[in-house]
Amino acid sequence: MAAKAKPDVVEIGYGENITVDVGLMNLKTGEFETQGLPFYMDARFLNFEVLEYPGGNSDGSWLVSFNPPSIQAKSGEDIPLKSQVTISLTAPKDPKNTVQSGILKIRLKDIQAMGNLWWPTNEWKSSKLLWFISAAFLLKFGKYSGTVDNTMEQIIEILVKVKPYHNVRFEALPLIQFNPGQIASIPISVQNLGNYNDTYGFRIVGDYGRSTISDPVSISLKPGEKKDTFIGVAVSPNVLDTGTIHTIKVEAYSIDQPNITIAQRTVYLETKGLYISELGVAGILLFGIIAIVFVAFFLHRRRKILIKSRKKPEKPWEVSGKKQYLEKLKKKDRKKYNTVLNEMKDEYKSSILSYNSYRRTMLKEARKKSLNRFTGIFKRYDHNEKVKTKKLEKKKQQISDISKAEEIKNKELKIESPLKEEQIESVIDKSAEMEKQRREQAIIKIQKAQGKQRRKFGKFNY
Amino acid sequence: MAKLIKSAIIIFILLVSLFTVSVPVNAIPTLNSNVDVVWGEKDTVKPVVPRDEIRKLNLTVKYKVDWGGDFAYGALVSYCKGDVNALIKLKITDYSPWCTANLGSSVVPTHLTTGLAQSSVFLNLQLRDDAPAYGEGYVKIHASVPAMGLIGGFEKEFTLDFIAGYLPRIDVNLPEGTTKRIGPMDSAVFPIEISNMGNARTTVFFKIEEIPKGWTVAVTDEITLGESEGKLTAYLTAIPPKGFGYHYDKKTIMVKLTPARAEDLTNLGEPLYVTVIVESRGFSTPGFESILFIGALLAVVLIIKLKKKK
Repeated sequence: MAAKAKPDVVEIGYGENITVDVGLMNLKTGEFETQGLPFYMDARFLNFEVLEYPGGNSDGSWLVSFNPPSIQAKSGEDIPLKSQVTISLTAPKDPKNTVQSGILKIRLKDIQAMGNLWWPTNEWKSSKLLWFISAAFLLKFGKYSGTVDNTMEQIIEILVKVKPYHNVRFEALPLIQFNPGQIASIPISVQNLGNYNDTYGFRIVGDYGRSTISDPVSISLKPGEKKDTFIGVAVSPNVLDTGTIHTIKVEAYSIDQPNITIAQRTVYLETKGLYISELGVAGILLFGIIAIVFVAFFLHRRRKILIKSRKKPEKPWEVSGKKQYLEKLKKKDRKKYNTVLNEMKDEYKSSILSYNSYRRTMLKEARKKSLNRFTGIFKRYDHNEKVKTKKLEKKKQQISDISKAEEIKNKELKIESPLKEEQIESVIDKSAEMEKQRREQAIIKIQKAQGKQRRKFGKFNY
Repeated sequence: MAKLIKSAIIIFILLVSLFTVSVPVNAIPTLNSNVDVVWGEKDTVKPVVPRDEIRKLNLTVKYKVDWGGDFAYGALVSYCKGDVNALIKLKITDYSPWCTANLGSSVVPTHLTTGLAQSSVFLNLQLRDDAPAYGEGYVKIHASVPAMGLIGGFEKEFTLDFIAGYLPRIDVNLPEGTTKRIGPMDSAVFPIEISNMGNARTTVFFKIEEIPKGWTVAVTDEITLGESEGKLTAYLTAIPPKGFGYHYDKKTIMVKLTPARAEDLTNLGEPLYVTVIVESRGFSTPGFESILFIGALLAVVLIIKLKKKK
């Protein structure tokens, strides 16, 4: 007696099932046995059971069922002594418990129950005495009468090749923040859920504009193993980003099947912040320096013009002589003191107004002058000279107007003020001060010129 | 009567003795089964690829009955006429630990003939990932024929040898990441760690897929990794353009890694790819600015000294 499986080699993948015929083999034909119940038996059962799973079955990945699970031979009816085995394979719960190729061992138990072998059956056509002599003395099969033999068994081996299962699991990633212009590698954890050592490649799907994103590095993983791979990200240098969410789609594939995507993960990036490039910084610095120089020049020129014009009038009640006079007056006559102080204040107010007006005029003139100088570079026409002379005349006129206005003011002061002598003194003081300033400036200029000349001559005096 | 019985016994002994002497030794009917299991050399010489291949080896089971003398031959002829089958039992007793094998049928029924009878049976062979490349594997097959009446039984073990194929597999790791920011005067160096996960010594060839314009990119040509978990480091170096002025160059560099069996470089595996991003940012100076600076410094010192002399 022998047993066989057809086919004897099968290929199965995760989530698949296949069927195989297993049973007793006819030794003459090599095919499955088709037989009824032999006349000397009362009953015959063929039972099938799995003896060994490929790589074990600790977590129930293998499911093997027989149809029928048991065959009962029938008297007078030939039936095939085989069963159809359905083999199912599911992915193990723990990816570290891999299911790989191996041998599926099936045990076929042949249970035979003998009838009354002392007495010939109906099929026996010869002499009943001969049967009895054979059963008792010659072949001695009589002793098996009424026995059940369950010791006969056959082992059927099926080579099961488990197809490579390519699968990976990406670990979830939180939102990652990037500054504009930043460059970094984002680690992504990948676990091999397949059943063999596998090498996985990755590709980035989509267009990311000015940002550059590199494909993660291919990695080889053992079943259940977890490792990090890196996505290279270089964010576009937007000057100001108030917060933009970018989605990066990463696809995984096995290098054995590069065209089949086995897993996908979306990585979310947020770009936020201000970006100033080195070139920008340099530009800003240059602009700042130019601005500072310009402002300094402007202030210097303004100061120069103002110095040229006249000194800001002082508060009369703070001038030492007048201060003492006011203090005395305060002690003597309070009423008079207030009147004098008010008059001083009015005087100061008027002189300030006059000073401001003068200053404005001077600045205006200076601006016009510098503007004319600037435009004069490009336009050197004759009529410009005329305009200049006219402006000069106007200026003179204005100055004379101002001086006239001052004179009128002084006269008014003389008429209105009860302290005529003092007011006259202050006006004289002002004009004296102005004259003094002019002289001082002239002296400074002469001194500078002299200094220059000395330096010049000094070079040749060895 | 007693004499008659005695003489009868003596005559019987004499006759038996005469028969024994007259009949030659080789005429005694000795019948023995003889089995030989052979396979095509082509099937075993070609290496079996681990994991992916199931090698189906066609085993030819040859059976004959050896006989001694005419009487034995006569007995065999009578057996053959009786339409008797010899049952050759085959069993795999042992095999390499990194392989799986089974037989298509454990019993090969062979019709008895006076000559040589042949039958065939398939041996299926499958190798695991860790089968050593070009390492010799074996499958031991025990063949036996039970005794059938006058025909003696037979038992013998056959060893089938085969060679495991090469399964290239490498692992790549960039410990310093896949991105680098450098100045235009610097160079970016990426160490690439390569581990051998295959089943033989492996040579890995490196090739830069596309060199960005104006850049200089260099990578280790090749490295050979030892068997089982050998690890080595290769280096990828990228030098950006150095032209005078401000630079903002951002480039992706892709390197192709192709594993091959160290002993046979034509036996290539599937390539792997490594992609890195290098950003070159900053000002590139002409290179002689330090000389200018030193010159200016010297000039200032000289002027100060001259002035002091005066």
